[in-house]
Amino acid sequence: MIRLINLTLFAPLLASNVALAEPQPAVQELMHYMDGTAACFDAAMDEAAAEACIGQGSAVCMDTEEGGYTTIGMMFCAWAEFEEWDRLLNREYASVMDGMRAIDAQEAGLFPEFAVRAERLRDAQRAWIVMRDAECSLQYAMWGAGSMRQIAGATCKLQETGERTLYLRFLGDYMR
Amino acid sequence: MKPFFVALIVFLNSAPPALAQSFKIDAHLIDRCLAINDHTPMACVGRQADACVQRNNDGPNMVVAACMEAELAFWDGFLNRTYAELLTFAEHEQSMDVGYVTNELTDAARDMQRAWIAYRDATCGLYLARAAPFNSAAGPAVNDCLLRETARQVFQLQYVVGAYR
Repeated sequence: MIRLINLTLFAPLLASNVALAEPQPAVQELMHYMDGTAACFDAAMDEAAAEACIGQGSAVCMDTEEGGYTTIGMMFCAWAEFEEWDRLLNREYASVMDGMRAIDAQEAGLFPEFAVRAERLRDAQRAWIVMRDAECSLQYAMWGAGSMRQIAGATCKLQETGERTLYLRFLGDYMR
Repeated sequence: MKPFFVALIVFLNSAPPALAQSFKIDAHLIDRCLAINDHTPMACVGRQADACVQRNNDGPNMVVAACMEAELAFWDGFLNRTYAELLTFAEHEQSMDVGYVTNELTDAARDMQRAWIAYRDATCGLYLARAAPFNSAAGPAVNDCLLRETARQVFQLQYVVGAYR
């Protein structure tokens, strides 16, 4: 039973991100601009410092790439940084999940009805994915048929995913 | 014997009422804070709830939760107004016929707000799970989450309306 629960806790979230696991070649080529993102994020001591890491990689990418400030250039740079935050997000999620599981395991003997932290974390993360996509669809749609929607949609995903990564890392600070 | 009871009853009734507690939040103070923190509006979230807790002698968790709920009412109202503003803006934009599918923006706005409600409930459900079991801190934990998430959504919607106006 426990094993079954563990499987169902992991599988759905992975499935939602698996489609993004392999960035398209045009994005893959730009991933080297994101080498500093993880280092910046890991070195940040608080949320404000970590917040400053969001957007750095794509900015360097746009500055350096030929045609980096065209619609396509900006869009691909933003997608590349999104991929990097998505990777960091999965890392943070796994670490928070481990913590929740550990507390659940301590409690499972005496209060199995309260050993639901891991499950709630998964529910929250799934609901967040739906919310982020709906939020970014709105920002994309706002531009109608205008080409700015490509930049708006990609930037929204990059920003939201970055902020969620920060949120999960500093989750303990919010909880009293 | 009888006068003693009478005296006791009189004493009990005349004892000061258990410290009249007021959980009122001054919306004007939040507005004023937002006016001078337009780049860091999150700094204005929870501040009036904290002031309320201090007014109530750093009360127990129940008081903390009540203070947060009072401030939450402000942000709920603010979110409703901001969402209405977004819908009005979306209706106006799509009526201009500049390449939108019928009702594209209003539908997207509604989907987004529905997804946000599910997200808020799931996220604050995690806070509740973290506070369990047998802990009166569950009230403040959940209300703190609701406060933060509701305020963040207000700022997010304000950004969306502002960015495209």
